[in-house]
Amino acid sequence: MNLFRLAFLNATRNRTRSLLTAGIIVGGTALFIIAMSWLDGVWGQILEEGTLQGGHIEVVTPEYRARASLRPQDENIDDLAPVLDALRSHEGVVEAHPIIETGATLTVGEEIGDIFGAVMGAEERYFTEYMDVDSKLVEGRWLKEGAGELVLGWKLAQRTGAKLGDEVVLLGVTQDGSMSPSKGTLVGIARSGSPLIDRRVFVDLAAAQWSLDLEGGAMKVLVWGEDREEVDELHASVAALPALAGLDVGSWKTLPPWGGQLGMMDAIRFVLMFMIAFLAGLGVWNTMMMSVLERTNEIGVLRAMGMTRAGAVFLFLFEGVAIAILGGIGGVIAGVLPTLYMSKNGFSYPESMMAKMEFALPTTLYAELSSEIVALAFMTAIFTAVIGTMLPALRAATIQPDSAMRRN
Amino acid sequence: MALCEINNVTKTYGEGAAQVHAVKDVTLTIEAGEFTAFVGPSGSGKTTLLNQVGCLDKPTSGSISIDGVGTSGLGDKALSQVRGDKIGFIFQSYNLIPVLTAAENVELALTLAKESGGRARAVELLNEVGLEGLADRRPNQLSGGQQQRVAVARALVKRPALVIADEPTANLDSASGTQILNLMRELNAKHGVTFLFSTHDPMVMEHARRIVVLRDGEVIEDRAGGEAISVSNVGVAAVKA
Repeated sequence: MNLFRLAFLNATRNRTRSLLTAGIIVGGTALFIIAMSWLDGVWGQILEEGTLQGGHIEVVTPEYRARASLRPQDENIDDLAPVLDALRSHEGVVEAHPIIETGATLTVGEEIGDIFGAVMGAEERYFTEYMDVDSKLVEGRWLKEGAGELVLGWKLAQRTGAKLGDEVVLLGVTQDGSMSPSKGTLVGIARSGSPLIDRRVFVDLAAAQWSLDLEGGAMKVLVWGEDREEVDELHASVAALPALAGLDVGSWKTLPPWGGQLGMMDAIRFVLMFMIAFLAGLGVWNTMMMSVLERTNEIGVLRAMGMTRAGAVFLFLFEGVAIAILGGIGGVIAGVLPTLYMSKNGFSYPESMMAKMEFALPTTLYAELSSEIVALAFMTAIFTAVIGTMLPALRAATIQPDSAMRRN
Repeated sequence: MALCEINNVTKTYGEGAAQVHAVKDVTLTIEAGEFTAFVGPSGSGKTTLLNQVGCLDKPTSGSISIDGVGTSGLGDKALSQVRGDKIGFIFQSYNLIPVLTAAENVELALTLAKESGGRARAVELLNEVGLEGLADRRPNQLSGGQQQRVAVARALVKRPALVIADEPTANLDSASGTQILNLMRELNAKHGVTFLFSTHDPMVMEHARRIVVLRDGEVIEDRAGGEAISVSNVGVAAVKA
């Protein structure tokens, strides 16, 4: 006979109540796994897409950084070559690409157009490997560099009525504010559901430089390392490059839009964890408090027989933990099975839902189940049970042994 | 040899006008091997005095020593150890743990006293109290008399110096009650265990070798008992009041 067995038997004494409590823990643990897996999955995809397109590190002038949200046309990196050379030869840098983003009105045919579009100029590899625009082409082909070609987002093509082969006139401004007309042949139309692609004009870097009167320069240089989560070390070494002296080097972890949201996501995780743990803890507390109140006389008997206060605490703690272990195992099963299914099959949503997003997300989102989440959920169940049981157990410890003598 | 010395023990509850003296300045000596009954009507202080002697409660004033150990200044842990090592309890309502078998209930006393012996010793004790073959039954599968026998075995399994029994036959019919009392006396004679019990049942008093009569928390009579003692001799009028 040992006290573990007694505690376990006590847990099975009022089966309905214990099952109800275990059920609360099952629900809490399963909900935890499902919610955290979705949160991690969706957030992971957002970050993956976001940092794939926006780079792990962004190099701009300090003046550009100060007004970055306005995308100033006149604060550029004028001499790009030494910057790119230094970055592309730096250990840990996988790729570095210059980017130009500007605005223009679009004209197709004789009428002066009144359709505004965001023009993006970059090297072909950035468009195809990082933005993946070429795979979103619904008509035509990707542009050839230096051939005076452009690709339109589907929305712009629709609004201007442009068709493949049409001459599209872009009327923008140079970095000093002068008018800057340029012309290109429409060779492809891309559609993703995201304004990032659907409302953009894609031109090669040289065309964008000419349009902005910025030959050999760029607004920014995006840099990618091996792993976005390990960016801090790379960020520090890149910032120390002599060729980048006087430039502002920021990592995705601190720059908008992700910088502020990382802390928010941690807060959401914590709140979620706290709420689920609180509800489960309340269930355990209720059950264990009922047990203590019902067994006052019995606890008195055990105390009369020599059980110490610590022994009484242990007895109830183990009882609560036994219920939590059962509930935790059930919760892991109930949480992992649907999450596994959703991590393989995902959840698809209509393209129209992406219309207001600032980044191009896939239209199928996947949960991301990890052993860390499962372990955290199980440990939270146990921890919750310990916390939920502690108060009733301490109350049990205050029961005096003379309670045994009271008549039932 | 004095097993238990009770010196000027007083127990009061409440304060001011609501103060109640449950036990008033009681001084007694219980010798080893005694079979002593505390008798008196309800509210006379029998159970309160047993609680003090059994280290289940602390007296407001006065001192008690059990088997040479003064209990007055001991903390909760030390008192738990005294209870576990030196005292066995038999309760009116048996108070067995319902989820445990008879043998496990008895074995639990050894576990709490951190003593070895385990199931074998528990079964041996159960056999001795006449429960052969019933070791694996749960309390709800036993009669009241059988449950009280389990409680007796539980109280004795760790070979305590003192067994305290609070109205041990009150929930039993007279036949079962007599059997339990005979069993207690047998064990008292065989093992020399000191029994101290409370009762207001005249039949039970007849089995006591010493009777301490309490009224309103005070000892009003302390005399030798035994079968020759008639019920009237121990103040039955007070008992029945």
